[in-house]
Amino acid sequence: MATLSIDRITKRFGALTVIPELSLTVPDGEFCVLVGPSGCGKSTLLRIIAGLEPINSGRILIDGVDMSGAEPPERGVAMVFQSYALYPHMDVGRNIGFGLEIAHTPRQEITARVGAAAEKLRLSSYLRRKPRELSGGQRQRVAIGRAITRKPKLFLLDEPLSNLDAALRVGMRVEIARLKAELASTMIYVTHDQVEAMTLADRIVVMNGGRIEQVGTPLDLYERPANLFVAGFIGSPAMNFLKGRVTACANGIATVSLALGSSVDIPVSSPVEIGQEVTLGIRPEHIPFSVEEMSGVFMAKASMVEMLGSDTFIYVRQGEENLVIRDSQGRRARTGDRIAISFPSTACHLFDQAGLLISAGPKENIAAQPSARAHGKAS
Amino acid sequence: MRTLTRPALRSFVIHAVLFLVLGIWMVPQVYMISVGLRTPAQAFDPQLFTWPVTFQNFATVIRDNPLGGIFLNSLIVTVATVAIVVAVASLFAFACAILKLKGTMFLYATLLTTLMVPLASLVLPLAILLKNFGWVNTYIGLILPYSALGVPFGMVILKAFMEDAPKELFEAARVDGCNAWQTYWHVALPLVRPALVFVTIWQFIVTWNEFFLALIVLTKSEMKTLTIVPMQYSGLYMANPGALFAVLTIIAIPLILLYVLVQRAFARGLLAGAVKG
Repeated sequence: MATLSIDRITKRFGALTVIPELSLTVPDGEFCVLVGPSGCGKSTLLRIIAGLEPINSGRILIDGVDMSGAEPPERGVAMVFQSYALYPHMDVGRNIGFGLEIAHTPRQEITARVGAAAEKLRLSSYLRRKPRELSGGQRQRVAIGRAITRKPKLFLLDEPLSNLDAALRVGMRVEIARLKAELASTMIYVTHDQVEAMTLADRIVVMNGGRIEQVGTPLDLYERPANLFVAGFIGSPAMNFLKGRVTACANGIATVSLALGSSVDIPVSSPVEIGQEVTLGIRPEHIPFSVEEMSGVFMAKASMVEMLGSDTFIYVRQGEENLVIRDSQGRRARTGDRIAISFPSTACHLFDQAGLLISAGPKENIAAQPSARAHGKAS
Repeated sequence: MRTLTRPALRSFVIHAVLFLVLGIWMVPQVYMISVGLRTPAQAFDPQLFTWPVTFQNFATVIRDNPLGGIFLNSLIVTVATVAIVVAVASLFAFACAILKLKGTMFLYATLLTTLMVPLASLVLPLAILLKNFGWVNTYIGLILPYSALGVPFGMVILKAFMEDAPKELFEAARVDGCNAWQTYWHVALPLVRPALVFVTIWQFIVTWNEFFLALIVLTKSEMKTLTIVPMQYSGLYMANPGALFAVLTIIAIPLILLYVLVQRAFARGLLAGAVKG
């Protein structure tokens, strides 16, 4: 277990700056997930932490000790690679115990620790097999086993599930969650899969273009995304964004007129000006709707309906604006149906032209209640 | 009559073509053995096989030459050269492809140019150098030049294999605490085993068969290597082609045995399971 402090590091590959300047602290025992789109620098950051990639400036501190120039073993890190990186000529047992072998650990202790790791990862009956004789999930478990036998201070996982098929991925995610509880180590986990991030993380770091966009608990990020990028990245399907303009503002409540023909009153935390262009964000699962014709609400035609069994996604296209609505209550909207939609102010997020959140207050009690309607006009 | 399925027919055609190529390829070897088994009267018979066969030529060659000692000379020179070439070439390839040490690419390019220099142009300066060092009629006088000439080719092969090996394995070794030497020994060498086998066989054949430099460097009969032996059975007034071909057959036998022993190591698929591919 260890506390990791990243202090204003920068990383360049030739003329290309992949991490402009970044600081982050991961407290002892935390499971921190680095998430972001491909090429955002999350894997590079993990490799920097591991000591596989040198930095151009800044410092990496582990338990307060500057480890910026230290080799991986000196840092006390273990890493699980995206591609497993198992030694093909060694059997499972030797793969798991190789780090200990190199550290000249007594043979008996290696056997005991390899046995314990194999037991934990249900690999005991595969110890004499070569990696090529294992399935993808088993290989990934060997890679995890190799990391845990060394009892590292920092446990680094680089997209460990991305090469597994969907069913295996769910199983391994549960395994990792179990390991997280058992090991109680400081873990840094890189993924582009937000479901992994949301389910595993104590804290999520959302990265974009080598910068940190937001750091917070999974619910923080879901409920109060700091900007448009985080709002669009966290949540599946992604948050709906609607163009609007502030038409009135009084007592910290801004009235936003939406381009698709509706208006919403939203509490704001920053001053807004009348006429200011804004973006309203609302999650698909927070849009109340009804398949019955109603007056005084925004009416639109369902351009497409996707039924997934547990959920139904209703797609609405109105002029330039696209909207996705998630229905978990089985209200049976069909393509072509006219539906009544509303935008509850408690579910709405408001972003300024720079993409920063300007709406106020935590989103509490957000539920897709058909009765909770914002005022709108019929289309 | 049962008709052949499409894959079976394909396999039959492929095998037929391969046997044809093998047959053509084997003609010189078969002819070599055949002439070695002929009487002097049959020696210039253009037929591939003649009758009767005689082992007299082999008996002559074994009687005329201390073959045990000569064979040992060849073996010492060849094994030492192969060991040096494999060790130096693999270490250099590792430094170049994995450690990416500064200056290695310049050295690599420089060494590559030596592949383009013909041995004939090196013989005179080499002979002078070896004489100055006092290495004429010594094993080292052959081993070092052979190694120097063999390293660039081995290096090209091994560097290419190491560059193709998954980088994550070397990074995993670093994270596991391996220093450069341990990474080379425990990870890099096992990963390029097929290439090591290839370089070993290639260097063994080249060294075992080398004649020109051996002829210049070795003048004492007790230091001779096998390739110099056939010379005494050929020449302007050559009279014993049977013995010549018998000794050539004897020279070829270790190479054939070596290949039979190590050819399984060429088997592919060593990297299967290392990384998701």
